Amino acid sequence: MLAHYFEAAGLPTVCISLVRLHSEKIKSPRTLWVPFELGRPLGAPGDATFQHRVLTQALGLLERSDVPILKDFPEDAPVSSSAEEEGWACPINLPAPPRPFDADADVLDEIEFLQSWHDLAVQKRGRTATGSAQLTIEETVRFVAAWARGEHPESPVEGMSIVDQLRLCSEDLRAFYAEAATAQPGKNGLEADSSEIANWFWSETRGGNLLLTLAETCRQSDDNMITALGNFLLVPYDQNHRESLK
Amino acid sequence: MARLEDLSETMAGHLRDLDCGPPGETPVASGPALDQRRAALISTAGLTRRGDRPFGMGAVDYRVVPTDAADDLVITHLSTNFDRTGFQQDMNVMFPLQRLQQMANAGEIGSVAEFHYTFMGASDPATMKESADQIAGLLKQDKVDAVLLVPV
Repeated sequence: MLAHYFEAAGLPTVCISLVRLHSEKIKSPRTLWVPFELGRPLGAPGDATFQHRVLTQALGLLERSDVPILKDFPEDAPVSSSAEEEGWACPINLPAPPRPFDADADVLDEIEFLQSWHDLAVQKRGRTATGSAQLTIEETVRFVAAWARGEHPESPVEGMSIVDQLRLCSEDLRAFYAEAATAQPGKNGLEADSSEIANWFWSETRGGNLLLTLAETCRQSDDNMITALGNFLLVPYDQNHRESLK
Repeated sequence: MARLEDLSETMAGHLRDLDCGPPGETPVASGPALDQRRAALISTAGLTRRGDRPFGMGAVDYRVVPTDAADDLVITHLSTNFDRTGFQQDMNVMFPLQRLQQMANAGEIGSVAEFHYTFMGASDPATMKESADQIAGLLKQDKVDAVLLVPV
């Protein structure tokens, strides 16, 4: 629909589409549908040649004026380890979570354990996707842990709502773990696909457990915004069946 | 992977039932050959520069990403239901700016715009017209004649 606005203003557009059904309905001027997972519109991280093929096909539609055009990209994204028998095995051996679970101390221990792997990832990629909540990772853990315990500290960032602060802390914590875990290939030399990283984070790490605990606490809130945060904005649909360790 | 039959029923149902509004007439604009065009990215991934205001619930505004600041982006999108791990490893899988620059260097496109723009795609695009019109003016000032819209 954005394409309609730009095109009507005289700007030639081309859309990449991840959901073909939506593009069939919207009828943007020029669309390349790609059969990739949500979040990866160019298909394959670290594969410049593959990404270039997607862009070449998409931008190639710009010279056409027989609109609306909806073209299908002919290739699937390159397969990752889930197609292999063995699957990815996280290269980092995290200690088993202790019982009873102590959110602050246990997650901070895990963060310290992961820090050198995260440093390696940042060095390798020259960037990090953490920092959206504008806190250090340690401040992030302490803030989330307090809310998970049922305390209600104010947002430490001026002008940021509690809902935004908590969901962005969740974003940063997940990014920290995923970046650390993918700094090197898995134990068996395989690269992880997105679902393997997500399953590892949500089922095997104390950081994932902290976010599950936070979501459970938020769902009990009398504040509708906090309840909605717990229900929809902290844990992906596909991981919502999990329960936290106590 | 984004074929509806490959997604969980919850996610597939949500996407299947999403109201896309009436299609209306498809407008068309034209430009020179591709190797003469200046390209800009518009992403709906809720990308913001680190330290910039995050996108909030119902956001219909936009953020500006200068070409030289594009390697310091974070995701502030509301939805947790799309992959971030690809972006964490390589921003080009979500925001392919370095790929566009390579295409410009190779003469496949004319040039890359100075500024790019991001939205938070969980909001209804029907409410983004005012923002889109503002951006259209900015893109024209930047001499852009190839707009690549990239979803998540």
